[in-house]
Amino acid sequence: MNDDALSPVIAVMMILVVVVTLFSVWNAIYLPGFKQQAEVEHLKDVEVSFHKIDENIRNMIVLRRTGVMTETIPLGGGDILIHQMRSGGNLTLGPPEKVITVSDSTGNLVVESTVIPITYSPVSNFWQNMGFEWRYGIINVTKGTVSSPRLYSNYSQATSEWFTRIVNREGQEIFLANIIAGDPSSASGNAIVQVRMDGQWGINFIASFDNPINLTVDTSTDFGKKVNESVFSELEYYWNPTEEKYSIIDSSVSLYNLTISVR
Amino acid sequence: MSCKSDDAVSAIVGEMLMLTLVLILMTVFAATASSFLPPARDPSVTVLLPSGIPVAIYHKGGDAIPLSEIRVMINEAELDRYTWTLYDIKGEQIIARDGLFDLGGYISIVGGSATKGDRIKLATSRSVIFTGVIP
Repeated sequence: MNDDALSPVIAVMMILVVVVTLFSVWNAIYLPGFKQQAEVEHLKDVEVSFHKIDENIRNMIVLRRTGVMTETIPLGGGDILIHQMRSGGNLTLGPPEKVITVSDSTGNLVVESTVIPITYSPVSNFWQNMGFEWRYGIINVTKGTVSSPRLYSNYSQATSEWFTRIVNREGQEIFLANIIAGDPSSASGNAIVQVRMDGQWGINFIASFDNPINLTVDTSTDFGKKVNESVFSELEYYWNPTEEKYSIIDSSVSLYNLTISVR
Repeated sequence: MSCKSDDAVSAIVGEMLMLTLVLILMTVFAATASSFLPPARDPSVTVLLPSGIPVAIYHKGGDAIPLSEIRVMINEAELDRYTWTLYDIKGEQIIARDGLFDLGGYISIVGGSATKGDRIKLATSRSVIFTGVIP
């Protein structure tokens, strides 16, 4: 029997085994590692976007700018050169939380001032189920049900830094910020979405002694209590302790609507 | 009387012995290969080091690190294990070796072991996670 071909066949089989082993190691260890690294970078981009959104919202409210500012957020990521599959994400606005109620002299509801949270949650993430949330002017990092303020040691420290200057007074003019969700108010997928912040002047009231405008702060939440402290520092003169509301009698009250939507 | 030729016996036995040897070596290599492979990536942790006493390092997102893996170094010298304590997000002390330094958790360093201006490093057995100066 001629066995000349035996050694080359075994050699080729051995090489094949080595190649398959290396491919398995690549698929089992290095490919997930590269995907995770790409996802780390993606979530950094999301975090940067949230910080920019925070800056834009603060600037627009403090300066009461009319017009549109936008910021993009990549919902999905984790794609690498040899494996282009991307994870997904979900961006939602709201639900709105009532902070201040504006009513006229008859006590009828005229308008409400609200704030909304902006939440990013990952879907089929290659790394960790880590998301971000903008709420009351601070950015929280979330992982499942756990949430921690990104720039502060703990939640109690973050509460002192909440963005509570919703009411501003300049002479005989009082400005009331209202952050609302526009349409559409959520987006899902793995593409880049645009968060659109549209600042516009809303309804304007002229208060008088005969027709006072009442501002009632909802103090049933921790945020409401903090807002009330800020409002009190601005409108102490108008505080009506018996009815626990601010009765404006000699100023104009203008609503500044910041409508946030996603595209 | 018949006469059988056994010229090929040694060659085949030799080939089989070689094959056996190769298979054994490959098995041993395959079993231990994973320990020779470099890790796919180092842990990625976002760390916050606020000013104040006691010095505390906060986990603000990223990989969770087991307590047994954590090394804290001040001015390039590793701190003794009893000079720092790991807490979870609720402020409860983590003692179990497999307990995790995860989101919202923090490492508190006993006063005196680290002071303002010291160079601080947080590391695992294989990589440095964070380097900073105590504010």
